[in-house]
Amino acid sequence: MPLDSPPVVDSTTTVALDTPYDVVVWDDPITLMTVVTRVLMKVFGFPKEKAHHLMLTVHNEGRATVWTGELSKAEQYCIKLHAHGLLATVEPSR
Amino acid sequence: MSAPFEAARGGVNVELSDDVRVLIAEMAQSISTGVGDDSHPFAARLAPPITVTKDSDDPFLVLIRGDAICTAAQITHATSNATWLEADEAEAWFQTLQVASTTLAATLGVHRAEDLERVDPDSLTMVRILQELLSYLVDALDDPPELPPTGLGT
Repeated sequence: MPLDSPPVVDSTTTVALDTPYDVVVWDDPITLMTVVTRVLMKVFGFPKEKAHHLMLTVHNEGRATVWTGELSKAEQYCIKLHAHGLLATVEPSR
Repeated sequence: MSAPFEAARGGVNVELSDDVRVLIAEMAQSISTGVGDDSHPFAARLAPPITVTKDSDDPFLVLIRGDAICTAAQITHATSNATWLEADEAEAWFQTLQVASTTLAATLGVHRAEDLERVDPDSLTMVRILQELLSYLVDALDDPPELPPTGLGT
């Protein structure tokens, strides 16, 4: 291959790896608002104000994106939320 | 119910009746048993889908999640008669009581607010007790830590 040839890049793979994913917390009728706030502070290390704001979004809109980033990290966060009894999913970021 | 949990000595004091302690121990036991057992009534709520665009989730992640739930439940069960919990044990109670209340509600068919009206109130009693305990426990865990005395000239 000549030295001045452009490198072959598998753009499909590159895009797939770079796709950000959202961690979404869903409202449920049983979980207390104070519990949602506390779990978000504990799992993500959010300050109380941010966790409280996200909790209100979950409560008022039925869901809230609480974190966006790499898939494997999003899944790690999601299972921690599950282990604290919260309804959460990971989905491609919109 | 008077406050059953109170922040104390870096942990939480626990003052509960024997009946409530038995309820907590039984719920913790059910959660431990339900993790990884697809036939258990709690199974679906204990193992919800993680990534919605995947046909099935990574078994390793499912294992880690089950282990985290189970460990907290086992700590809660082992300390269900304690009158004082270390901070880590209190966190395990927090986790287990929350998992217990949501899992129990799901098995009663409560998935949306409207479902609460259709469920027999007696069946919801246990969920309400767990919610009340959680509320008190959050208050105790969020209490500012006790500061050491700051006397001068000692």
